[in-house]
Amino acid sequence: MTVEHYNAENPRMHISYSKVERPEELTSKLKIAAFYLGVVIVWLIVASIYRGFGRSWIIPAVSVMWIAGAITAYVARNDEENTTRETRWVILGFLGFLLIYRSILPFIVPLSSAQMAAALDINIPAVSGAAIAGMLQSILLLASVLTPVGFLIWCGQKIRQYHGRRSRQAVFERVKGVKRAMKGDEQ
Amino acid sequence: MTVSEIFQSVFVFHVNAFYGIIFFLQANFFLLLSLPAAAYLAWTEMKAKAALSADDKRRVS
Repeated sequence: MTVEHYNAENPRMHISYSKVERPEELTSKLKIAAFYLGVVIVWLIVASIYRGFGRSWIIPAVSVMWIAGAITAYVARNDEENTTRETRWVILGFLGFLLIYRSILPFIVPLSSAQMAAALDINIPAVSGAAIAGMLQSILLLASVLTPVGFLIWCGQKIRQYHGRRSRQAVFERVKGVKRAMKGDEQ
Repeated sequence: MTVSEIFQSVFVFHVNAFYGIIFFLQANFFLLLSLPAAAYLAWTEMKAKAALSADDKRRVS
């Protein structure tokens, strides 16, 4: 049994750290694990909804994002918590966008050019109805390609920044060493 | 049943299992590749979170 009180007669403390998992810590760990599991499940659901596009692009793209995030967290140790958090939120945001985009399309696509013209109160040619399909496809391609690419660029700059900071610290240490040596010579 | 027939049937089972495993790995390649990465991220986050609250149960004597 651990006695947890301060002994005034003997203020010299004998410290022994116990590794007992508190309920709050366990809950927070379970929450984190559940979040990651949820992101993976959403990933698989979105990939299956998008069928061929999901298999050939969404699964590899998100996989590359997971791996890039893990490598960045491993390499840039000074900011690993932020890297992990941002990785999971970027992936969840990306998947959320794809899911919402796919679920609102059925409501928008059936609108004809005449209905849109009436809604906006402007003259819309009938041909633009065909252009909408191409535009929707372009939006999907742009969003689904640029998000992973942007994330990879972010990871790259983070690693580069970390190495830059390390080399700057090395220069400072060297300068300090030279100054210390010069002081030593003066004395 | 001869010994060679037994060997043949065992061989067939193993070839079948081998192809099944290869097919599974091929079909779920990216998922299997990224699951360790996701697990590493989760573990890192748990570690960082645990470091925020130090379990400071000291025994005072």
